[in-house]
Amino acid sequence: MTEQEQFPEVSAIADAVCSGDATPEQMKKLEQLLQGNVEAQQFYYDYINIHARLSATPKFGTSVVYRRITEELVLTPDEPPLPKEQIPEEQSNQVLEHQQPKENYSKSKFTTKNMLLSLLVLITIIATLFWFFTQRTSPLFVANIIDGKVTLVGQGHIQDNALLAGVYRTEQPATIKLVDGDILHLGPNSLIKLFNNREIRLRAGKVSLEASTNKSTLIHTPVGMLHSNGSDLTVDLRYSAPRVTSGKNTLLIPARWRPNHFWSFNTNSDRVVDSAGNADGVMASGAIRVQGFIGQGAIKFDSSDNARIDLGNGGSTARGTGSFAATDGVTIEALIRPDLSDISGKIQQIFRKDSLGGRMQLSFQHQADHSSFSFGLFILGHGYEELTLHLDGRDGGFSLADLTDGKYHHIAVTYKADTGEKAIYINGKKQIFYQYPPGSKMLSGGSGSAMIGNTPRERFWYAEAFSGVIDEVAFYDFALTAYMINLHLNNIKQGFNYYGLPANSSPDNITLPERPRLTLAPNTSYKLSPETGLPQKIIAN
Amino acid sequence: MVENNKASLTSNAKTVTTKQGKTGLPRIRQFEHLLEVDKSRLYAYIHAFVGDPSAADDIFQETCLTLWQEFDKFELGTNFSKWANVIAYYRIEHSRRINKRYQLGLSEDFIKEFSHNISVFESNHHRQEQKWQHLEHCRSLLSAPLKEVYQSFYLESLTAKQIATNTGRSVHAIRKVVHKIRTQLLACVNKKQQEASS
Repeated sequence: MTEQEQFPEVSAIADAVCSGDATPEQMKKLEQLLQGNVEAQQFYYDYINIHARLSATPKFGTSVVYRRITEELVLTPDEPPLPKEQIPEEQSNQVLEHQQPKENYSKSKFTTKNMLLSLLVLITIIATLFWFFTQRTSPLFVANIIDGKVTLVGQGHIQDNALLAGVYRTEQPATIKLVDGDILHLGPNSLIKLFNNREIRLRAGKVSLEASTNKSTLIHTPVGMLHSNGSDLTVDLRYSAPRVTSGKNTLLIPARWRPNHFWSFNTNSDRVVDSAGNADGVMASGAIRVQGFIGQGAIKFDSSDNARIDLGNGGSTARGTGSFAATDGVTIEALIRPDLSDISGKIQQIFRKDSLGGRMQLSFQHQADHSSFSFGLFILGHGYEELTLHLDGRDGGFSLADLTDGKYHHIAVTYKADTGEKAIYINGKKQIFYQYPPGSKMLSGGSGSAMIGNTPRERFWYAEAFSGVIDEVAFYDFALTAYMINLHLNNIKQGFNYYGLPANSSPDNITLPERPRLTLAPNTSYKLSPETGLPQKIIAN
Repeated sequence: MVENNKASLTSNAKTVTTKQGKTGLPRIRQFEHLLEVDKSRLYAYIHAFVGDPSAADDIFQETCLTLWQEFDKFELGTNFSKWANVIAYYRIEHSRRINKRYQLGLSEDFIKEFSHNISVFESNHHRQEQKWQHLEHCRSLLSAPLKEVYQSFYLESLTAKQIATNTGRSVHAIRKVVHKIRTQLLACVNKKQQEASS
């Protein structure tokens, strides 16, 4: 038993102490837990030590500065030494000047070299001041107003028409030109922060960037970032769902895109590696690696009670917690090729997470006369309910005949609490949906296990095993938009994984990146999801 | 700003380095060296008593100042950590008396007991240092996803919220991962220490 398992409550409070949000009640509880318990005290002290030692900058040392007048002892991290070739010629002398005295503080007399350097610094300061006062458009200014009026909000400064880095508001349309050349047309009642001559944040209103250089201007928004990459770009925050009109080379970095878990099945390790989270899966004997549709691997489930991949509980001990917990929405997506020779009619689990009251499942059922997909969730105020898609092909819907073409099919199920919509998509097309009252939160997570290809409940393993092949399973704690589901499908069709990345990454490089860059179609207007910043739909092109 | 700090380092340091220690190094450099080696442990000592990181920062700063002011009384070659703990303990006591913010629910009796036990834990200085030397190796054993969060949280000093925003995950999920990093490393360090002892 590890010490953490021995002292779970101490561990939790120590975590709060390190995070800076331990309450007095927790500290009182801590005292109760530690008093008279030397081992628990040792554990708590070691835990705090780990945090302090990890927090200390390991690469550089500390310089001690004693300020006698203010009676301060200042600990400053030493600057990392720049590679010699990166030190600008005019700065190299200054760096030497600061480093050398560190070993020679006892030598108080001025050397000729020091005097010359001091003189050089003085001349530089005078020249800089002269230049500052004589040049109207100093490099400190990041933009110039070329039309209309902007007013200062908080930080910043306006000198004639030149703008320092800061926050500005418009009441009427205005145009400013960044020092690098790009022109920003600001809509009325816009609020913008200028960081520098290539980076801005739009907080409200609308900005149209007119590119006049090949350089990229970065626009931060509440739902992500956009790189202009030398082309025009418009961002409009006047709508509840922000709108973006792309230029030729616009790149979008959405605020949320990453799944909590992604199992591509493309490594040959003894575990099913999770490329996005920490839920590596353990395969039982009825789950066998086969050639994948995307990448080198997929898993074939033989319908036996050993057909399963155990994913653990996402690190959860309580309902609504853990990496499988979601309240505002969820998405589960997978590529499947069911084996339709099994017409037992039993439920075949594609993905299932069990917990007390927060069950979640995506399953398939095949019988001689009818087949269906089901997506079950626990919605607060409604309990656990399943949305069932019958594969009868009615009204142009997906049919069993479509599923028996021997190909892989992409299935994605989503729930979005804001809209209350629960939906099943097959091959990028929304097949069926159910409308809950908007705002209905869902509940998942908890101590129950998650599984691919079977149910976590052991006594039903024989009855709910999947028959067929499953590839590329992803779990998100938010709802993917229809646009993104189709983008994932398009990426798959081109031989990439859902995220447009090469499917067979090396084992050392299998983790999904933190910040993807979505290339937007040229000259196209998108509506973005206000929750994630992912494109929701194309509104004009 | 960095340049300003450097400039003040140069000018102020000259005023406090007239004394030479036994080793021939300027006295402030001796102090700097001892503090550099011990600062994480000392900070942890203070943080463990006061809970709140900003309060710990304040007391750590005051403790460092007192350590420097009293450094003439410190005999080189004796146990700096033990000496620093005594001063830190009095700074904590003092701060608790004058500011309720630093009390955070811990009683004076418990503080005394805990302080005594820490001095027992740290009585074998060599063993303690050996133990924490395993940390670097244990850090290299973290899984790739944990290493990524470690990199962002501890090396790039991003907050859990910032990491959550950057990665599209929830703040709660990131905090769970950070907790896991600490507990895994602690278990690993203890295991390595046990292996080394046996």
